[in-house]
Amino acid sequence: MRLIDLLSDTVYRDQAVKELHSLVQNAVKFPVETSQIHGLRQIARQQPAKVSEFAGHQKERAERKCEIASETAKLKLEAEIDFWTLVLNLCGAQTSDWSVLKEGHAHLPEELREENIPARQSGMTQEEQRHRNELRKRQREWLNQWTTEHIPVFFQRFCTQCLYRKSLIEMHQPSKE
Amino acid sequence: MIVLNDQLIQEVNLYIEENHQTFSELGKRFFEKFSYDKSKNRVSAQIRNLENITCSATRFTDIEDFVKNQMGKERTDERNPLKWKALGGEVLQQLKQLRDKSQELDADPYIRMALRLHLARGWVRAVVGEYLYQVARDQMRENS
Repeated sequence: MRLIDLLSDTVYRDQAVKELHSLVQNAVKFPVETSQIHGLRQIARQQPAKVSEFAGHQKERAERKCEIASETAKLKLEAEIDFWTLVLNLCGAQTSDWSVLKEGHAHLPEELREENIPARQSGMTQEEQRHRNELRKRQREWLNQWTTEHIPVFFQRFCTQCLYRKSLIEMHQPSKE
Repeated sequence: MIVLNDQLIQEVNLYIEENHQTFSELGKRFFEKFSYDKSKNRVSAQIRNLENITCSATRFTDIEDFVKNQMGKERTDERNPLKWKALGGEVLQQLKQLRDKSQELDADPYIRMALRLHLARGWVRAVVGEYLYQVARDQMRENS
């Protein structure tokens, strides 16, 4: 069994449940439509690197609509903006408590961990600079590989949880988790 | 691949035995909600799908997600009464019990993962076994 299976079965599932619970626990309507959830799932599966861009685009669209919306429509659009902000945070925004990227940082191989990459300093020899740049490059590549593999797996959990919570809200039932 | 030791397997089997009645009750409710195709003598594809996914899953959450997806997809109206939406909550609760049990049995996260899958396979045998028994009883009633 691989780490990705374990995370998918524990951390990713638990984060999806927790984050959506905080977002919609008092909602009377789910913030986005089913088609948007399917869209997010498809992008995550086929183009994981584009999830942030997709979420950013959806968020901007909702913000533009919000500027000219009536008071009642504004509430719905604000909830939608919160949803896409959450998606952005879950991908890897530095401000979030947890993200797929932060999870990657926690699993970096020893030699690529932040504390083991020398800080840029004046007076570094060319060899030291080359070594530092090499470690940075390898760290970037490792994290890119991580997000490419883990974004589809996490958002598979997240989107299923969205559909589930949406169906419960439509039925006015509490979550059974 | 993780191989569970004999003692853990025995504990899982004991747990399934002790809770067999509860799982069977769920199987009965599956029969009440999903029934079967009487004209073709065919059991519900939904039950077969639940059984297949539980037996083939490499991640326990895939089983939970199957239930959540079915609940999310189900469109109901006067002609299509609630099925997954009526039963899904109870299924998820029983799956949560299995997850909790795996936490009790071992501290190693990979062994817990294997335990969850082993528990789920015992659980689905009990649920589907009862569902099939109810189908057989109904067929016997129809034929007599």
